[in-house]
Amino acid sequence: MRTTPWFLRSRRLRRVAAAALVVDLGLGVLFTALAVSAGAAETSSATASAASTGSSVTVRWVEDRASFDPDYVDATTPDPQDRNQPLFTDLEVTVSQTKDLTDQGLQVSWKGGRPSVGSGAGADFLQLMQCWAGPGASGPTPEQCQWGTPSGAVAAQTGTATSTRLLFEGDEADPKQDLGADRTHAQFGRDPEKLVPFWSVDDPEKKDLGWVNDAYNQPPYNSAQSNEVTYARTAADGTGQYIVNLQSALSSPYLGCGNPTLTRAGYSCWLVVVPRGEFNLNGARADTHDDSLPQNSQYVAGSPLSASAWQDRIQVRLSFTAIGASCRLGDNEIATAGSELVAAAFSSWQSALCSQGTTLGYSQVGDGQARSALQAGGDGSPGLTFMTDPIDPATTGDADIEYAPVSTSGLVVSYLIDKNYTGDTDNPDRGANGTLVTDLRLTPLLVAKLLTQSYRGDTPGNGQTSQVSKDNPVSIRTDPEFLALNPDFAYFYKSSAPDGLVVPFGDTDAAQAVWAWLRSDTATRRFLSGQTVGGVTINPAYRDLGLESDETLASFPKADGATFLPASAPKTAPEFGTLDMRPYASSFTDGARRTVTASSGSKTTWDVTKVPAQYVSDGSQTPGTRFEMAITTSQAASLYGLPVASLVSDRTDTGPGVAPTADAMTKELARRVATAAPGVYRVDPMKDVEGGYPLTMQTYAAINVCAAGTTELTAYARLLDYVAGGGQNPGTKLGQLPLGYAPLGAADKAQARSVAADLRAEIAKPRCPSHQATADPSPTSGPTTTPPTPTPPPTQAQPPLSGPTAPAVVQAPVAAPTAAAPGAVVDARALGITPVAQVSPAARYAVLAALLFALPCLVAGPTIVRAGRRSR
Amino acid sequence: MPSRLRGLVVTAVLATVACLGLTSAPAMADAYTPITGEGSSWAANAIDDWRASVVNAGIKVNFAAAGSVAGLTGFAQGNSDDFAASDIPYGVKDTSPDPPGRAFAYIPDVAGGTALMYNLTVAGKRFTNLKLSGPTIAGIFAGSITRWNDPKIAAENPGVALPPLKVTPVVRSDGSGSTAQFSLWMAKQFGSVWKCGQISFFTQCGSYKATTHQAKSGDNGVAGFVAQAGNAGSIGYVEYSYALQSGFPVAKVLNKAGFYTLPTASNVAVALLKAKITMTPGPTYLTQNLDGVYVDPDPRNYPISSYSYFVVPTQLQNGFTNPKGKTLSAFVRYALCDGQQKAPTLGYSPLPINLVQAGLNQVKRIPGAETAAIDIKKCNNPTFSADGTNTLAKNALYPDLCDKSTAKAGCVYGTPSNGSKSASTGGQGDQNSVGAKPTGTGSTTTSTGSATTGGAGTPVVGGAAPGATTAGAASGAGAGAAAGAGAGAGTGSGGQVSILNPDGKTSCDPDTGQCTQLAASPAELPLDHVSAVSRWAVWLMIGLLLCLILAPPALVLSSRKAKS
Repeated sequence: MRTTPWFLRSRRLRRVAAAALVVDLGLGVLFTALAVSAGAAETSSATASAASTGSSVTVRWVEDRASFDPDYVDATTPDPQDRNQPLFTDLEVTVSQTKDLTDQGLQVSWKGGRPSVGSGAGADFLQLMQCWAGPGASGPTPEQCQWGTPSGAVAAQTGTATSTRLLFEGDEADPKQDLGADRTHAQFGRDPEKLVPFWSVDDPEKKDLGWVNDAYNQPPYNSAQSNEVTYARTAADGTGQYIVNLQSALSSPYLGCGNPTLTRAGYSCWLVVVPRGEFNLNGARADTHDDSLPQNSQYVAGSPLSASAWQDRIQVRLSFTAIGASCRLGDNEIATAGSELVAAAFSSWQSALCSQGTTLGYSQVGDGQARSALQAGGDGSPGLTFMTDPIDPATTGDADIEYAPVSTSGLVVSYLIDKNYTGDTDNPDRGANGTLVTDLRLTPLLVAKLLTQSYRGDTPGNGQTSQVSKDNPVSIRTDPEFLALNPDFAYFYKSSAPDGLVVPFGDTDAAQAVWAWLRSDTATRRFLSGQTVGGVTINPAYRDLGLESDETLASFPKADGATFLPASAPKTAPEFGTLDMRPYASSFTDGARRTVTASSGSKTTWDVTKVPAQYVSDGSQTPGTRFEMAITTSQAASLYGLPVASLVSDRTDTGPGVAPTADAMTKELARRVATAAPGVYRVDPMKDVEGGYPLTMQTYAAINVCAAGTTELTAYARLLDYVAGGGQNPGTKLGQLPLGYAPLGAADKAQARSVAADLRAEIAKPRCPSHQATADPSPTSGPTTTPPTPTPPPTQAQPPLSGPTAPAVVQAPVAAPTAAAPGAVVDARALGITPVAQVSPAARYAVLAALLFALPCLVAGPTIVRAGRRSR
Repeated sequence: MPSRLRGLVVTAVLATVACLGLTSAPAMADAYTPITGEGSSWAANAIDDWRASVVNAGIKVNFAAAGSVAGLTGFAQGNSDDFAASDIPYGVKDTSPDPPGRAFAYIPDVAGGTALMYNLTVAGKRFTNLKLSGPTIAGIFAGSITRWNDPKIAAENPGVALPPLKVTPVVRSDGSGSTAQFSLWMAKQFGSVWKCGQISFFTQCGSYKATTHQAKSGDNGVAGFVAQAGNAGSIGYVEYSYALQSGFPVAKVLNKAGFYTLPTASNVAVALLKAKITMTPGPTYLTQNLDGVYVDPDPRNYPISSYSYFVVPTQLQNGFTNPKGKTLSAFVRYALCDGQQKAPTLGYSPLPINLVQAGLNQVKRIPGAETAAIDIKKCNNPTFSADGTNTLAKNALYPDLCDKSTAKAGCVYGTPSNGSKSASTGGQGDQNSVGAKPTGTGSTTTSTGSATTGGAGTPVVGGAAPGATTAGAASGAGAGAAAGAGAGAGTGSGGQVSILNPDGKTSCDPDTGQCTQLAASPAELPLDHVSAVSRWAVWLMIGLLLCLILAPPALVLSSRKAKS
């Protein structure tokens, strides 16, 4: 027996073998390194997801202060040059969530601050901004922060340059600020100015944007895009809070938050809070400033990016969910359509399914459109649509329509209200002036008054031209019923009032549910029928709409036909009407967006500079006086971080009311009632469920089994399997159930899986003639003479609702997977749900490295064994 | 043994190579810079749908439905708009702003019908079968027809007890492309009634009276006004999708063939076969001349059909950058291809192949566009067919005889105007008006052909099938079954209307039973689909690895055993 292995027999082979070995081991080492580094990046994000609920962070201003300002020794020996520092020593800022973030509202609160002075950004306020930082950096630099593009209205509320990136020269100059060449911007035809440029994370060479070659020196964002908080005021008790609209790399690629490549390379994202005191950058007291100077000259001046202000910052590291481009454009989409209530969840599920090769499309249409589109059949019509109420079985004929529950969410009244108190010393809450209201309570009657323009201020001309009763309150804020539930509002400035209640246009089952809920309350039903309740009478324009009895009403009417000519408009101008002052939102989500931006879209300002002159937008409300309310979905409210009203039965109710938590929604669903369609249930507002949230909405996927092709059915079955499995794990990662939804109960998941099984059974063994016709002729199914009577699939009896799912507050869901039903686990595996989504780059590199190392062993091992044996 | 070893080595090497390929294409997102546009509210429901659809591809598009004129103006002036959406081109006299200083191109984005949405109660019930001719419509909006029981309206709706209610024409208060298209149609066809010519600001028309008309901002505002129960007697012009959203009916409009038709996806597709597109390169390239649409003799024509356009930059000006161009081109490409699939569901009509082709060529002119990705063969559009004709138009159903201008009072729907291709009761009947409550009695079919659902309003591709389901008299005596494939898609009525297989890939002629592959049949899942491939590759790797670890000792053991 020869001992020399075949690959060492000739010189050439030996060389080749040696080279191969070197290359192989080299690559192995390389991939090991990659695996280790990628693994390290993942570990941090893995820890993050485990701690999603507990990722709130509180930072005290005095912590690590010396690392920001070498001249600071301790709280008693602050930086002698920075006279503001003693004002900040008690400040501590809490960020509600720092992990698994996405494009969302982030609640930032603080205490121990100095109460804000004056109005707007006079003195003692905070400035907040989102920033990025490079690999290895302990935090961002001023160049890395999205800042300096306030809206005109906001800028008008601040001191000189306080909302900008500009740096002072001369008397006002910041002694600590370098004004060198890289802070100097020369532009043709203008004096060079000093400012802090913006550097984009996606342009490290600064080629396109920000500084060196940019003719306009425009940052890549503008006031509509930037999420900077120009000023946030602190209440008299030293507290304050603000909802910051975080931006992922999807919205702001120049910050790169959640961009997986950047995260792996060590880039990070930050929230920076710059407190401003009462002194300017040059150390002078702001309010001693010469007030012969222009506007706001006694306000604190100078950019927070200037060194003396920047050194007082608090910074909190934020970790974002990796943004997905999980779906490729151009892959053939399998159509679905339907209710907005499922849109956000669908988007998340879609990304998970895309990465498994199933590309589903979705068009948001009203429930009624979803029902008729499903029945239309044919190509171009979706074979699966989402709706709350089923199609009337009497109209479906022979069609085999199957229903699977997919999501549970709720309709909410969300709001954004700044406490805008007068100086009344009787007000027990006056210390909180300027902060957000977070404990609003509403009754069905109050919502009914808002929806029917029964407050005079919600009609054109404040009731001067409308038929609305002169005895009705001007706004909800002056309504005694409202004040009985929310007494602090009595101390608001008189003019404070919301821009009505923002609602979307179009017919939806959601709107229908709102009216059903209003009718379920006796007093509200009396009000809707025209009786005076608590001194308030419905706007006569709504009296004849049959609101108290018309169960088919599925939209929010805006019926007051009065018009009004504002004083600013000439006599020749047309008068504006209800739809101009209280316009529809385009969707529930759009309503939430209008609320969070404090911009209802009302157009009652006559603008003569337009050609032709016309009514234009009234603009956003300014911070400190914001007062917006909207009916939206629990999901949209969670996404934007908006507070939502608790619902109570009437004005005498002293309880906290019921809020749209996952627990309350699940409780409500436990008492749902059957509909005419088998397997479809709905919430009955007439049933008073203890602790249940009455505006809970259960959304179903309806599948027109025979009208959909087998390709579609396969995709729909995958969707439903996913929905019943991983798609119900709450969280902000792609594929998870977004915030604001309550996970489905075990019985609903089982029903969804059972429908998925039916669809697969239909593919395997078609019952529908349409599928039999296209199926390959199989030897067993000869030419059939029996008329293929459409056989409805075995309707599964709805299993009794099992125990409610684990209660979880919707606003802060548990990110860890909820204990899934055993079946779900099996199902997910059968589907192959996990592999790709969860085989991380680290694992891939590791596999590769192991393979490369194994290769020489494989070859050499037996050789050595043989050689050993031989030598023995 | 050596030969076996050799085999193993070869396998391992191959696996390594495969694995290398795998990791070199990590599932990393293409980064897209967000873009912002504004304009047409007429097209906004489609544009919003596309915007939502591309999010999971990592694309963020901001869009404000500020009206066509605001869109054109914003794009021309500032640095904030990366694109505009408009129903009208630049430089239409007294209608739209002059062409901007920056270089631009038009790209048609979606077709649709300008619908006349109305709110009318007859005999205590919402009336849903209103028929109007062009001169009557012009009279209503010019303010010369002021009552619903006007003899002109009554003559077109015989047997209907129209109320003596005031007519409230609802128009756009903002600069609007739909106002421009609507007024152009009236000016060119019924100039004796409509004297204002083409305008984009309705309020500038001499016929506009604040006491008669209601001017509202955006399609949303017009539809919102008409949809108020209290605003009975109002009628406004909006894109069909807004009527579908609110469940209110739209008028059937008289065409040159003498039929009253609805703005369904297929009727709009038929009508736009007669649109003349400017194919001469230049600043008006791809703009539309609709004169032929107005006078089209096809009975299925919906006369107020038009295209809407994206206006895109073709040079790096006004703050437009190559990264933005990459985003814009990907977004427009999606809109022109897959986005068109969704048009009928929303209430629009998909673009035909020639405009998609021309549009895609325009996309290539956007700076930063990823031109390699632009390929009409991968474009998944429901109007494409093998022979280049518009599938949607070709298979559009003919109107019912009761919708003929000569139909008598009390006409009973159910007689098609064209025997070989007919809408039977469903397609264009009385009950199909948008949003009417379902009154269908279910299918009466005993057909052996197909088990289609309840007769499904319009069996045409697309299901812009108006709100209600009607009894679909699928009387087809098995023709559907004979034709075999395709029965599932149509109504099965006489087997005449089957259009597409449920798989959406083949089109079958019910007369001949011949099936053809659509040109735009969806491509097979490409092999470079990282995720799908890597799923299997990863499992393969794990398997191989196990082999590599377990095989040598096993081999050694076995060889040892053999020796002993």
